[in-house]
Amino acid sequence: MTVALAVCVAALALLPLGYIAVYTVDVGWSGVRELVFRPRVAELLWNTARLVLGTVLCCGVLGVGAAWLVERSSVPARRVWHVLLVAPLAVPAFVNSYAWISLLPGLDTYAGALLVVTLSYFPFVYLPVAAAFRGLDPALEETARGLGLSSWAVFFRVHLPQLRVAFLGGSLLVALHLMAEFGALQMLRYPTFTTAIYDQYRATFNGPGATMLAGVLVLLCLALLLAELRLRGRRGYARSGRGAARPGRPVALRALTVPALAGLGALVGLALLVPLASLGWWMARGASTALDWNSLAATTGTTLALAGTAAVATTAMALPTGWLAVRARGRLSTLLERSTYLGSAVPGIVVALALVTISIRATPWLYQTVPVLLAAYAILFLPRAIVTVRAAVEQSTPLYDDVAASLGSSAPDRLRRVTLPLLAPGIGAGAALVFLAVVTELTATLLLAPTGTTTLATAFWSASSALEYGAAAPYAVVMVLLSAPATVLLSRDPRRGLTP
Amino acid sequence: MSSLTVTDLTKSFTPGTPVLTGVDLHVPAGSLTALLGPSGCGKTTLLRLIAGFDDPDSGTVVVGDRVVTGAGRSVAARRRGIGFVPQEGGLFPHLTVAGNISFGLPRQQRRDGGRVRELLALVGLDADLADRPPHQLSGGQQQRVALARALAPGPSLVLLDEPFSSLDAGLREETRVAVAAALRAIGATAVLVTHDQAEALSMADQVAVLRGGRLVQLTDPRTLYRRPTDLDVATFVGEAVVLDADVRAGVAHCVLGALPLEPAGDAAVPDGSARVLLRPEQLRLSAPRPDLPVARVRAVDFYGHDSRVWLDLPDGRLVSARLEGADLPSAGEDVSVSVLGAALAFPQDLTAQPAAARSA
Repeated sequence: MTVALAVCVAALALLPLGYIAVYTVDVGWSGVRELVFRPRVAELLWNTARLVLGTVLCCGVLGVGAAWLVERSSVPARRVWHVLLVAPLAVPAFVNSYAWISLLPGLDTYAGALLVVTLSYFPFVYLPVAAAFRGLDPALEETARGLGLSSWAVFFRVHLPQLRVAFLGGSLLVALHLMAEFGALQMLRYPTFTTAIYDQYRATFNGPGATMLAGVLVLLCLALLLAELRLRGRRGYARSGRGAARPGRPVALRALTVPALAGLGALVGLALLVPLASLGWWMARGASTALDWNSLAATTGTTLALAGTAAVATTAMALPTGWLAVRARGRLSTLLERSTYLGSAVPGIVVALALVTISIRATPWLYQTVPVLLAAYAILFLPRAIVTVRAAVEQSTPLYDDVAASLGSSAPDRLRRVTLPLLAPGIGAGAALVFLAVVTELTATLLLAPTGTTTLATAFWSASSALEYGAAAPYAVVMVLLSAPATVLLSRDPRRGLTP
Repeated sequence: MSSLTVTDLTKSFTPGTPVLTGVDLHVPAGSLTALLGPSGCGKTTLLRLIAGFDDPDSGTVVVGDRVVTGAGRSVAARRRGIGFVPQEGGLFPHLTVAGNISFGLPRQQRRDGGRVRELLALVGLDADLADRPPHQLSGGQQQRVALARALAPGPSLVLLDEPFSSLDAGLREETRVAVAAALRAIGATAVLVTHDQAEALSMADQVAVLRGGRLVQLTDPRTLYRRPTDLDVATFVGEAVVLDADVRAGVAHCVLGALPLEPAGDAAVPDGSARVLLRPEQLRLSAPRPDLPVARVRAVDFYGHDSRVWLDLPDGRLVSARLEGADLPSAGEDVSVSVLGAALAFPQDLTAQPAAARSA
């Protein structure tokens, strides 16, 4: 029963990939050659590749540097900096992009795109690397020093190998998010595969053209996933000793304290203060013209309702998979869990395109309805719910069930008094993360929302696309306010919601 | 509380590799039985079968005069009335101490603080702990709360699965005493799983030794120590000095001289070559004397309350002796060895079926 449900969930998650594969076979080799091997695709490939490479490098330097300062150095107010460095995640990348381009219209270049996406995505590297620094056992460092290694040698031979998994995971997230990024790059007029797919779809409704571009994009994502797996290797980096690790002693910065503070301040200023100031400025400007409170309230209501429904549905779908992954470990359950992760690595634009086409062809009565939109949200955000549900199931071992049974408790009674109370926090956290992801989802919503349904993201998008920056600002402010709680969650427990 | 009778219990998780084979066990009402064995011998499986968490392939389990497993039917765990104390306590993390203890009580009694205080007092804990969450308790306190929780509904039998193995030495002793006292106070019938022979010998009324899924010996702790069923059991339940000997007319002749044998009941030890078992505390050392065998001291482990002296015997064998007191030899010295009490002989070729223990 549970297995059947989990298989259905996995099948849904793999639907877009399956669609692309079947479509490619249908088009045939000659069709693929005609649609894929052309200068336009090469240009998109070059644009996408250099942006991904540049962003991963910049995010890596900024993320590791900031994480080292906050976790291992004596920089003042480390807890405050930690929250401030995670906070940019509360500003969706397309809002950040709007904030910058509305101030500096000349940013529609490679450098501009690199600046904006780096500022939006560096926390994806910062968070896991900071957590890894925190988890480093100081005994290893002390042992290395005892064996006569210098500070630099300690960093390269002891710290860096242990940060590898966290760093690669963070970089993978940056790359996958960037491949899927539509709003931010469209606004900066920087063409990548995702924006090209959208333009092709909007302009000509050109099925084969858009789908083949989507195929190339999906291949790139899969290649990234594989590369990360290969680079990460099979070695374990868990502490072998028992008991909790002591916190390490921070490195004294002395004269370098002021430059370190200046660097962190500049980073936070650019990533957080500029977008917030820009939003504030446009709010003030927009409010003087006309702030339509009614439509803002209605859009917020629609968004909350959609996000709430999606959170409930997605978390419910995550339960069988998360349960099996812990309680029935084996090849099948691993496969089912991995397929949901694979499905969500597919960019939102591809998921939307697949669902549009499938619903038109197979189930016309479902086209442009809320269930299809909810399915897209589920495919994109399932891992967020599964990770938290899984962690909760891990904490509620079968032992509690046995003990409760030996105390005379019946199966429904055990579910009510033991299993659900133990799972509730995990289920709640998973639902909250899906909720907050849906609130700021733009790409799939643009393509799949029923006519007349506007969310905060799509209302913001249509206003800012029409260069009505003042009218767009209130929607962005509501989104940032709604995202803020997720940021607090993330700064406490980086494992949550950091799945692509 | 009720007695427990297990008859011919067999269980295998994968066909062909039995975990338990034909186990018979009787635990009299109000007594504590320790299931002793190395890890992987099937003792935890036996406990889970008795509790009803798993079903055996064949065999019966009877609690009091009620058949809970057998003849193709099995009573659900929750209807057996068997209390269970898992390793590391297994307290529900979302409930307070009071919530844990009252978990198995009928609904109307759960709010009754008096019952919780009573049970806390029984296991020797302060009533102030009632409102604490489990993670604020020490390991030993968690174990005691787990016992109180198991005892709360008035079970006919309590099962304890290595309850002290996760505690450090000092806490283990203290918790062991408190748990034993609580069990005796209410006259509980209890089965305790352990791999610690000192724990089994000191706490239990009878000890069941399991090996490779079979029950190899079921007896009281003194008999188990003095007359183990074979050399394997002998070395498992305590330190042993094992020597080759030649048995003639009820006397073993070995490197330590002629040793009297334990009275063997109806089956006498056959003459011929045999192996004899002595315990290290049976050896006595003195200054070298011509009428006694001489050994050389290799090393001395000093424990404070007593000491272990490692001796190289004339035939090259290394054995240990347990000595009390401050008058210890030092390494390299020669000493004479005499033996207190009788030795237990096992025929050389049939170490698994010793004549002396067959009748025990």
